[in-house]
Amino acid sequence: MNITFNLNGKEVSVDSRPDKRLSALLRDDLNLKGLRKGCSNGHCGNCVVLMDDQLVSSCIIPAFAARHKNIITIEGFSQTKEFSDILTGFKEAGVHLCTYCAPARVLSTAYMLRKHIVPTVDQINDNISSVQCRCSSFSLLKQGIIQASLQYSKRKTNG
Amino acid sequence: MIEMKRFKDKLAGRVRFPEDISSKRTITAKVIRSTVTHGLIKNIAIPEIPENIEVIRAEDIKGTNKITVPGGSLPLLADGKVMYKGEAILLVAGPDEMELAEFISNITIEYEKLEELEEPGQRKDFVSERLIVKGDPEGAVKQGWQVFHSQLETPSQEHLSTPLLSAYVRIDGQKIIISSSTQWPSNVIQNVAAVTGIAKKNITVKTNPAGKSLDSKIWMPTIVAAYATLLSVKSKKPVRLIYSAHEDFLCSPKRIPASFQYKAAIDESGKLTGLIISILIDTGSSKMLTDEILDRICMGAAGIYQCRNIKVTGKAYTSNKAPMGAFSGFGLSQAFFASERMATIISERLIKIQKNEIARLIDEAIGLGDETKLKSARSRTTTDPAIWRKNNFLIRGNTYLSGGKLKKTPPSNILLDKLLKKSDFTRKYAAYSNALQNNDRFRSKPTGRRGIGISTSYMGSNFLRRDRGLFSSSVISKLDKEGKLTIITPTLPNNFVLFKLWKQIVSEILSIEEDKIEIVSDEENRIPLSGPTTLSRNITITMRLLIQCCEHIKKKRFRDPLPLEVKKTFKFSASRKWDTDSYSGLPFTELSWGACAVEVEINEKTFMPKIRKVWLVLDCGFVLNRNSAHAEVESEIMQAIGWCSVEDLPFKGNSITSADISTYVIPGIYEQPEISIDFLESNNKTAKGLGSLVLNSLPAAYCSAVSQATGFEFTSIPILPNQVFSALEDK
Amino acid sequence: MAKINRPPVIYSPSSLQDLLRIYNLNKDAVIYAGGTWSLLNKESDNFNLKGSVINIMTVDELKKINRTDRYLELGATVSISRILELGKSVVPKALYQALRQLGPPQIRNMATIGGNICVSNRKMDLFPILNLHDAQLELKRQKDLRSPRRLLKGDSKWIAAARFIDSEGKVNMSPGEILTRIRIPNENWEYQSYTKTGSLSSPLVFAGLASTDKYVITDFRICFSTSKERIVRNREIEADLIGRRLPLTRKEISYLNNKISDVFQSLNETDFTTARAIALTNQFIEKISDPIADQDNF
Repeated sequence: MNITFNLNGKEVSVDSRPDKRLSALLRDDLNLKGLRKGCSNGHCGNCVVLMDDQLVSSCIIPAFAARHKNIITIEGFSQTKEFSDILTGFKEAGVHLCTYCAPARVLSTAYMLRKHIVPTVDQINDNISSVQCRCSSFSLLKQGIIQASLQYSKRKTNG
Repeated sequence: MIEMKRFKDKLAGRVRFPEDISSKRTITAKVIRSTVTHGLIKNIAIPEIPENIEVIRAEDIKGTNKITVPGGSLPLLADGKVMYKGEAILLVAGPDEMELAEFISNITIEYEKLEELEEPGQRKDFVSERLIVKGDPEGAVKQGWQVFHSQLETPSQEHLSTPLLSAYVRIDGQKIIISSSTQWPSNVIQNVAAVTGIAKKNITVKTNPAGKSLDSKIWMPTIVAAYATLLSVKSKKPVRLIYSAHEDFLCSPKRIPASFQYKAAIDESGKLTGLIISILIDTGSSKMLTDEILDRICMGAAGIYQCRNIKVTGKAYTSNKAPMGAFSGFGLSQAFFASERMATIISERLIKIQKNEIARLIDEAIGLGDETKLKSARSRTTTDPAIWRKNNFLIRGNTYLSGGKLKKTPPSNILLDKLLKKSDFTRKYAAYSNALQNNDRFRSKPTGRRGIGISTSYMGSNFLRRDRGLFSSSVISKLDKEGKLTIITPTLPNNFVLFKLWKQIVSEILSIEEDKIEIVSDEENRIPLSGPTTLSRNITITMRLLIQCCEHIKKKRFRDPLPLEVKKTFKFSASRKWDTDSYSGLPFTELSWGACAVEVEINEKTFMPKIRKVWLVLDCGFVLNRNSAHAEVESEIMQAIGWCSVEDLPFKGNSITSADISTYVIPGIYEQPEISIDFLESNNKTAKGLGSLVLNSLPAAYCSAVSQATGFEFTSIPILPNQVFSALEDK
Repeated sequence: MAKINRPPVIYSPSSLQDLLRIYNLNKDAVIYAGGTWSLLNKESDNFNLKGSVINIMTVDELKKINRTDRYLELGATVSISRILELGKSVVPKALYQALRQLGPPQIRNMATIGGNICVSNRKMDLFPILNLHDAQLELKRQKDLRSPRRLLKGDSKWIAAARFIDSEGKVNMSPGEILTRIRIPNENWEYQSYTKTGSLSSPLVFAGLASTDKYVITDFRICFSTSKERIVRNREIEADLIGRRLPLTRKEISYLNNKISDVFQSLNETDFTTARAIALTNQFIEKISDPIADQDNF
């Protein structure tokens, strides 16, 4: 089946089984290794992508469900200014993340900031719960998210 | 402080794991596993093998069909007999995943099921045993003023690892190049060489980041690498083997479960006079690092209290579970849960005796009408878990279980004092005890069931066993003519802060700019023998070797011609004598110390204990980076909370009943309690290990707190809500 | 490793009519909405779906949200996160809480309310509260041209949430039937409560709605779901409490607790579950008895 969708701002078309995992399609057919294989169950959050501006677990999306969608992976997102905001924020707070879950953390933070430029504690906690990993120091991560949101809102205000 | 480019690459997902590597010629490998827990393989029916598919059976392995570690081994592929559900029987690989799946679905394996191995109580065969006797424990227990008995247990634990276990192997001429997220490249090379018959010098291991290791898979990546290499050698193609999350959950190493039986004798002043401890640990189907783990468990089980008469019997038995792993603490976590929980149990039972005695004296005084006696009786106080500990802590001149003398007094008292002050333990402990008493006396509902528990422990860095394969470590430093310094270590630290710190230290010693310093892992196998990166060896050994290398280069650089190369190898200090066989001397190279208090409240609607706050006071020497240390401690607090409260592996007998990892709950942000962490830098020159200090301290404190809150003496973890309910019902 | 089947046939109907027609012809088809349950627990890179799949996410009629004075109406494929975005002023508080606890953000973005109601093991999260709200579920099927009802526009019926699953937790849907809308009445409940507790091996969900007037209970509803995938609701208990004066006496509470205990024991539930059910009910009673004004009554 021909699966056509917008990937990181460009139209792509892949010939694939319609019930192939979107994560496998992105990783293997399109060589986007930034999203991880993870649990294949939707829970760990390591495979998240932004699909039509929604944070979703790509491991439980079949390829046919991605047709005509706008998908952003970490590779695309890392070219944006938002990524720089998050990078700066995390760096300033001294956030510790393992290499495996870091991209997923970035995307989930980006998703939250796009919806709530100044997130509440509840929203931050909800965002943190999207990626399940034993590596994180939650307090540093929270500080990093707050710093990222400051950078983000500063940039948005200054235009 | 953090190296910006590396950090950016990490966040942008540019760092690669073995599961990410591929090429046009790469074939995918799969492992066919046993579906029975214990049985004989009667027949393996393999359909006609297509040309592009490779199959490897046990009998096809030219070298040794096992993976070895110092003191242990396990079969690579089951040969005639399976010892656990999920044990590998066949390896298959092919270029097309669908074709491979079709082929695999047509393979049938017939088993003759066997009875599962007996329960430990009935076993007489043990794969590892230790008997340590100090003084006359039997006599001491016989003559003890009071003797307390208890049985304590610690469960298994799953890592829930990231990244997934995987390996990528390719052949480049004569060389085998293995990409693996391993903490022990030396072990990978040794075993792959033994399994395939290829010379070690022709095997290169490229280490990829390992994520948060938890020391759960020290030798497991070796197995994955060996499988992939066998298939690569046979097919002459690159091979990628990735365990699914399901496979990982089913058959990767879990924390060794342990059970402890204590007999503790005290004298009238409450001093510990005799300890008899029996320990049983389940090592799974094979003995791997079991000897080291058992030795550490025995040491930790004896606790950090003065006692002239101790007998510890430790035994490890095999079962029909997948081989068990070390996990953080390497056994000390299990041991300190037992010894610290026992310390609190002793003190609380002593309190009861003292209270009864006071009540008796009061009654007697009232009966006699003796005001003086009455006043005296009423002014008597009881002990508490903190006072008991302070009266019994080891001090300078005392001996460890192994007979080695303490050259200085450990900082336990100082740590505990600070902890008591920070947590307000003494007042809270008394208040919560009174609240429970009033509940019992007046049959009134307490306004809230709260409890507070404390625990103290240590973490011993480096191994007890003197196997070279375990403790070896070397660092090579090379200064070239352009003034560039290259440092070669067995493995790179995962922690970028440490990585950057090493560069800073080197830069300061040699006055070289940091961008002229390169730290690389030993891909050319110039350090052939090296132990795993665990037990804080990166800080306590590798970093010191690095400093020694740089100091040496500093002395020589303007005298000797460049390039200049120095190799420093770790040696045990001659003054710290330790004999593994007789279990005598000074056990650990270095000790870090910790004290922990946990306050809980029971939700009486859901029966869930909620941790209100955790206090930690830690002495790990000079803290290299506070932020990093704080982060490490915080993430370990969550691991410890998981181990003692919510994580419950679905074992039924020897089998995991559900490999659905979404059913294995680990604590997250909503379970995080308030945390207070203090570092006591008693030795502000030397940095010591920090890892596993929390896991050694928190669980016992938690268990004691929940026990106080419920009024029930819990002696095992995890403590689940239905157990809390049963405890409250019994009351 | 399971054998890989031939690729499934994917249908992506653009209208409800199309969907009903296709489903009528392919009653064994897998319905794909958010896929958060139906596609789990598969290991390989392919979901290995058999036969045919109907992607109902392409049907606009199922994504609609409609709000009137009388009810809030949600299309079956409205995602959990979209419902939460409506806010607590639109979504009843207890339902809001239930939806919030359904999983992390990425799961809530994909999971649909219809999927949550229809799929085994997941419906127990929402059913207690939908039951209490007397939610109505619309089921539609392709009209049978041979039936006297053929002149009606499709074959559609509204069924109370309470009747949608039987006492054993089985869904009451015929082959070819699709859940299309969920209608939740707009009611002014003074007190609402939702608690989900326990591990996966012994879960318990409690939902409660109550209203009072001058310290007299005017309406009272409680419902539980347990590990045995049962909905436990006893209208006798509810009726008994209506009209009683707050705070309840010790004797009344004791009587209530005994009644709850009897109900749970008769269903062979464990003492642990029974105790929790009683405790959660008591907590709810305490809340509605509390005379403190201006508190958030949730």
